[in-house]
Amino acid sequence: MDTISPEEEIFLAHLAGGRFRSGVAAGRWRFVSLSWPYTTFGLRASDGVEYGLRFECRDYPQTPATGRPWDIKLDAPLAFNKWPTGRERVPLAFNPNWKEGTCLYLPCDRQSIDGHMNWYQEHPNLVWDPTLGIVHYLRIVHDLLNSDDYRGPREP
Amino acid sequence: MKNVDVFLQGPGFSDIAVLSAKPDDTIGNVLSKLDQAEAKEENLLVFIQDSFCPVDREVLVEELLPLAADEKTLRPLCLHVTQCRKVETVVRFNGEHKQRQFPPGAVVERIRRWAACRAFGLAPQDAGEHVLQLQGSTSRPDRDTHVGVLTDGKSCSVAFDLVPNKRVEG
Repeated sequence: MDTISPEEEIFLAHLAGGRFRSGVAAGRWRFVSLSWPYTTFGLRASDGVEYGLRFECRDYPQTPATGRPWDIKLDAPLAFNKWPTGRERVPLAFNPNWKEGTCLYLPCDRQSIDGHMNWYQEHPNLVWDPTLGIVHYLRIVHDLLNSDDYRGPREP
Repeated sequence: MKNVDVFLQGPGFSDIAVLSAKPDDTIGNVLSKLDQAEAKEENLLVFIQDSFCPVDREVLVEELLPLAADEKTLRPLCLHVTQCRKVETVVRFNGEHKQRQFPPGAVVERIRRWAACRAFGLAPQDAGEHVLQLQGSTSRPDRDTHVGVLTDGKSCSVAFDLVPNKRVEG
């Protein structure tokens, strides 16, 4: 019988919590798949478009996850022309030129916080929080996709 | 009949509690399933999210649900338990303070919109780029957090700053 690791157990506990489930009930996000340490979610933007995000969650939750836009139908990285864009904050976060599109340019992302110690002071509310884990990352991205900054996919 | 998810918030809750209820359960029955002993106290008030009046504990869950297109669709019920009947809410922006009473089950997003659009009269595009931050902290509560959660359950007041969403840059 397969046993799950303690880190996966904590991850599943976060998905069973009220913060995650109330987001599901409100149609903000949904769980798509899990093959530890990889997991995929769908997030609903203000225009009704659903964006996939695939995370790599090793050493969860002490180590931040790293997430990239994901094509849920193809189960593959999302083509750059389908990435969301906007006025300022959204295109900065969803920047295909950053790390070759393997992660979001956000303080909650493991790859992006590396080398950005200033973000701990400048954006403390956006830094990964182990007590909230993946739900905090989802909330940050959902807020972006539902802000006035968001302008839809790069090529509708 | 299918069970209904009940999402419950209150002062001192570390997360939104999720309970499963039968449509014909009373609110009192639902609250008795809670782990938090303090939330079971009989003198606590129970509010529906964003509603001004507390509900009676004898009311049935199904009587509080929004009517759906058919009887099979059951939307979750969002409740708040507290000792506060209202929450005195102060928002500071550019050195100016605005104050208003909200029901304890009012979501933070509702207060943000009131502050940005009504109280401080920001243009729609600017209003959307401002969020609420608890005074004296860097905490920015989720948009669906009930304002009553942010009180200590007794003083029934909360103070925010309305702050701009900063761009994340190098």
